[in-house]
Amino acid sequence: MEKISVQHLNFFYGVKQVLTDISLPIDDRQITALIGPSGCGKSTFLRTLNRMNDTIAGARAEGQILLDGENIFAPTMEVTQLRARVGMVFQRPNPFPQSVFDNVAFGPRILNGARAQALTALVEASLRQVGLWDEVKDQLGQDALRLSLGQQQRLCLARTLAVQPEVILMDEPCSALDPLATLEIEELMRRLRERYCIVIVTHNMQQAARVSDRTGFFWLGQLVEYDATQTIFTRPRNALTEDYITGRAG
Amino acid sequence: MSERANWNEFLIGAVIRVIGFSTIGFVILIFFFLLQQGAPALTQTSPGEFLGTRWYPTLELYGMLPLLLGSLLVTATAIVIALPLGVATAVYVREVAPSWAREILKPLIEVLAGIPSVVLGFFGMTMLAPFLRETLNLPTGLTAFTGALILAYMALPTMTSVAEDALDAVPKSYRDAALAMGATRWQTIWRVSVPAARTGIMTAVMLGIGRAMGETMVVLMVTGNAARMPTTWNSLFLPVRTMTATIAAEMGEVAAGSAHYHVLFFIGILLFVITFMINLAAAPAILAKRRRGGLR
Ligand SMILES: Nc1ncnc2c1ncn2[C@@H]1O[C@H](COP(=O)(O)OP(=O)(O)OP(=O)(O)O)[C@@H](O)[C@H]1O
Ligand SMILES: [Mg+2]
Repeated sequence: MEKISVQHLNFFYGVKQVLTDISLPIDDRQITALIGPSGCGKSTFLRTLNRMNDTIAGARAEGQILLDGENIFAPTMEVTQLRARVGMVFQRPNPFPQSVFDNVAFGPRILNGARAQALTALVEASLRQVGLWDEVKDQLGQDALRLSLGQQQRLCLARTLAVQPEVILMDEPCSALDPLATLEIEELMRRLRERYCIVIVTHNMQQAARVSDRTGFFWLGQLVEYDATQTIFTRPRNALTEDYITGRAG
Repeated sequence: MSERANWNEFLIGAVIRVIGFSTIGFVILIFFFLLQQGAPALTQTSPGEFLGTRWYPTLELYGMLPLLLGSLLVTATAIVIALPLGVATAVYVREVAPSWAREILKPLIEVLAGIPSVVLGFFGMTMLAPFLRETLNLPTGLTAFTGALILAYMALPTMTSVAEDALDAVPKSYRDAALAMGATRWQTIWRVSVPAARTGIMTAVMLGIGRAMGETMVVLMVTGNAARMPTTWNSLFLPVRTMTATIAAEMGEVAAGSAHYHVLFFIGILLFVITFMINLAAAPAILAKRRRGGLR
């Protein structure tokens, strides 16, 4: 089922065009990977999906992005509600310098001033979802910055899940992590796939091949090829894609 | 390089070192001078008396409590007024104002810090005090509150710029995380940026306390200088006398070497110790800030 439909998206930082005529469907309960060389606009594309680019002066988007059929650029779209529905995990783990509990409780508190009991349950459920509960259940009051980087990244994921989003965007979520922590995150993604629509940007070809259902290849702000991950990695239609995934270009 | 150039290098280095150490030396000298002049107070009067509630030097009553509490009352009130204003101004300048407004406001705030205190005291006496007397229906406008208002104004520029630095140092990634969860700009500011900057904001408070505690001219001019115990709630709207004002007002008339003279120095020691401790408490944060690129 189609969750997001991007239609003829152009994107500009001031006068500099970074994305050109991007169109693609993104399915629910699937993992969609975006790959491409540095500077080709993957992060920019990801950040248009939850309108995080709105915070950058001079940034401007053209075209349409439909979320469940509704244009996210429409004036009736509340950007805070959009971001609650489309969560994001960043490249470097960025927990707040607050306790583990307060980190996960942040979203529910600001969005609906959640009541204490419901909040405790929600925090526990979110931490369980990312497999962190057993590791931190005795130190919920501890400063989140004292966790290991891998734990911090899973905490950030739990923080996003606590908002109960429909879509989860991940921008190179493993690039700051060691191989073991990376595998943990990938394992998590496979589990979360049952319930969420996941879009991940990655520089790691194997990772895209391992976890994703569909892969899109970006090149200089254009979407060169978008297909089932298997197809992209075994018989890409475009020569540029082939060169990139085999390491001859990029 | 000639030997002569080397010799010059050495000379310049030596001179700078001597100047550098001599400033530290002066601070130590001043402290010993204070000690030397203040210590006799402990033998000439009975020190237990210092904790008394009556300051009447003419009757040889040297109770310092009214002065100490006067200083504390004025300082604490000033900080309670200045802290929310300072943080709000910092938040406005750093997080809300468009860049052109920031360019105007930042130097303007620095200029405020440069207004001589006697000018502010004059303003307090002639404008603020009569205004407060009439609007609050007080017997006199020269009160602890009047002093606190002006001290708050004086502490504001430093507190604002230190708090603003602290906000500036909050990583963008924290704000991004909050915004990406659907937080509004205000939620992001109050629940993420300000709490993350709390160490720096505490530094601002410490510096503000140090500034207000040591200020003399303004309190001398506008607080009324009655050495009474500020024990009731309405004391805030009555005259008080601070430690600094006492020294400034009485040192000129006292006979050198008398008990009164030494007691005034003893008050100086107290002030020195209090402000030193406050600065010491603020030091780690200030040093960390210097290392990151300086107090602006
Ligand atoms: N805030 C900004 N202002 C102006 N230009 C920007 C901004 N952010 C990114 N760009 C430019 O937009 C282009 C796309 O950047 P983007 O970060 O989307 O690339 P990316 O594919 O994510 O690269 P990487 O793989 O290195 O993360 C780059 O040329 C970059 O220089
Ligand atoms: Mg990127």
